[in-house]
Amino acid sequence: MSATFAASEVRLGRVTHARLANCTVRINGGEAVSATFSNASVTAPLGAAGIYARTPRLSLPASLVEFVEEGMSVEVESESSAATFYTVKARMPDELHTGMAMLLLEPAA
Amino acid sequence: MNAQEDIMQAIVARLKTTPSLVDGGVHRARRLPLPEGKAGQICVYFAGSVPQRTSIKGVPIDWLTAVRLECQKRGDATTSGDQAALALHAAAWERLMGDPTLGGRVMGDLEPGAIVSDEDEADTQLGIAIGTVQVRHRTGAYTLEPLA
Repeated sequence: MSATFAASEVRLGRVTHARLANCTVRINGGEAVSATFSNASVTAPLGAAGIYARTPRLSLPASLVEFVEEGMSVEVESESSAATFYTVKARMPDELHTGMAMLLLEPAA
Repeated sequence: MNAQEDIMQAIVARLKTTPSLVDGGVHRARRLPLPEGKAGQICVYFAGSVPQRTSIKGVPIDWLTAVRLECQKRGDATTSGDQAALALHAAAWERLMGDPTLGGRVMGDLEPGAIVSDEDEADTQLGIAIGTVQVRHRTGAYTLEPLA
């Protein structure tokens, strides 16, 4: 039963990627691949006022980012992206084994 | 104007003198986050005022008033959030120490209180340095007006 559920999760990841990918990315100048980019706004709770900030990130198949390390350059071609060039801050592990991975980004200097 | 308000206004005014310390400005009692596109801001808060008790009736009252400076700053590729915030706080403190009596309002000089920092991380590192400025000043016996 759990294996069936896990398989469903993997299929869901693939379908989500196929249907919701909204950009093309090149990591370290490599081959262009499709990915889902988001740049949500957050309020960091620092002090009484707080700080507005962004959390740019990419979701894409884990198999495409196994080589990715912190500090690599990422070029994002997307209408929803305010900046085109980013640097990888971290690669989040595929904890749920859905086959999808998340890259946390920062604007390139 | 009461003495505590007078001190708050003097500190904010001093921090606002040109050249500006930070692109997001100096604000009093601000509760709105640092906007996107701004690297930092300084928010000034009244942090309490304690009278120094005396056993003699009708004499002037000495106060210890605390003012909290919250210095928020974004880090970048070469500077961590706490580094950036502590540097901003240092610049603010230096600005205040350019007139340590606040135009004669203070008994003695402005005194430093504790300095702490905190950090967070989003697209860049974010930092805050919170420093307390302690102000000794005097009012009349039956008023909160500054003693002339």
